[in-house]
Amino acid sequence: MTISITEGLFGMALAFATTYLLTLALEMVLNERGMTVPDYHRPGRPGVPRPGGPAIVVGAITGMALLLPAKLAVAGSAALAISFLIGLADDLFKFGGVEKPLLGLLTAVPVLVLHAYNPFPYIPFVGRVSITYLYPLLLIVGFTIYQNAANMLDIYNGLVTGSTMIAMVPLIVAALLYGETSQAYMGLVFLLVLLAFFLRHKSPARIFPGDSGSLLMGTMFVYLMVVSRAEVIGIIASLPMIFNGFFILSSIRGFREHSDLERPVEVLDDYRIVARRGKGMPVTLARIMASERPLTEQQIVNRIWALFAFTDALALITLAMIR
Amino acid sequence: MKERPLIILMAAFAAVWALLLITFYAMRVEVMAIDHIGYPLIDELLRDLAALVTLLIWIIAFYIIRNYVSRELRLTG
Repeated sequence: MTISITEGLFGMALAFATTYLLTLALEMVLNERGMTVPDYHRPGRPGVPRPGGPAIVVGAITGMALLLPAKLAVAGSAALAISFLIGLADDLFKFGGVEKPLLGLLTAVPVLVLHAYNPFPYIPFVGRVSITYLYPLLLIVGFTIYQNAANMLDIYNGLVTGSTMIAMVPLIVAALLYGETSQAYMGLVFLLVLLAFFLRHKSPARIFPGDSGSLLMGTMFVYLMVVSRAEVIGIIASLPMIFNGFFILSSIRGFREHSDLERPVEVLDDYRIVARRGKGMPVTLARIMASERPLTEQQIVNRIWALFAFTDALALITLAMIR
Repeated sequence: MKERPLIILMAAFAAVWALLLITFYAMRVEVMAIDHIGYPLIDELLRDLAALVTLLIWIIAFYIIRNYVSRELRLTG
């Protein structure tokens, strides 16, 4: 499937416009129906509409359908749709701490059935390694790990959307350097879809992605990583996301719904955020950042983005070593 | 120091990155040794095992880093 630059630009512009316009429409509909949640880090704790996931999934599928070969588009769209539905069900009915990661295992099914993956990851120093038995298992687990890692990072205005966008950059660079046009288009579509949503999710947020949006972002990242065959680059670029999830799970020793957890930070009267100290509280990136002094929400977000930029640099150095 | 948490985390991620590269180098040695066995199924299983061992090393390293960061910043999580 050869796509001209004009067709590529049109597909990407349509994906961006679809997501942006649907996000605006969702904001209106959700506000009218009272489907809002309080933003605890802003004066007056205004209600913010949620979930914005539908705008992201429609934009991403639109872009993939226009620009990708049929197998990649169908497998990717099905994986996104599954994670979106799991997230939407969670937004509407609230799952427990275990159900969500278990259901997330289903996301890999279309990718495995349509064989839209290649079990030969490129490992630095080693080259392409055939791990045909382990790879499908890693794929199944990888989707649910990243979905929940993204979900656990969705704590402040714009944070998860901006972080996923930053982490995607080395994957897109890798696809461009390897001359893999479809994968590069997929990455750019995902990036533009997230940018369109980010414009409304950044502080002060006019919409929250909800679980349907954050699980989608994790799925988009893993699918891009797998299809670009740049697994190691993706893992390095997303280290802060993986660590945040790992820190939380290892400090609370297992899967629990985050509303059941002790709050790791407290919001002061001036809306600055400071880490709480003591045992039993999850160790999160936000708690670490606010451990020395109180910070505003945006200051914490900026520091976490700086971490992602740092791991992006490490990923790009690794990419240069591979090439 | 005002940005101590950020600096500690960046140092931790740089350490993880270095560890990843070291384990990949170790994997290269393993893979080269495995390629000489000559039985395709055993070669494949051993390669999968090597990747699994690498993953386990990362998980242990993640624990060590989490404990180090928590202790350094007195979070005791």
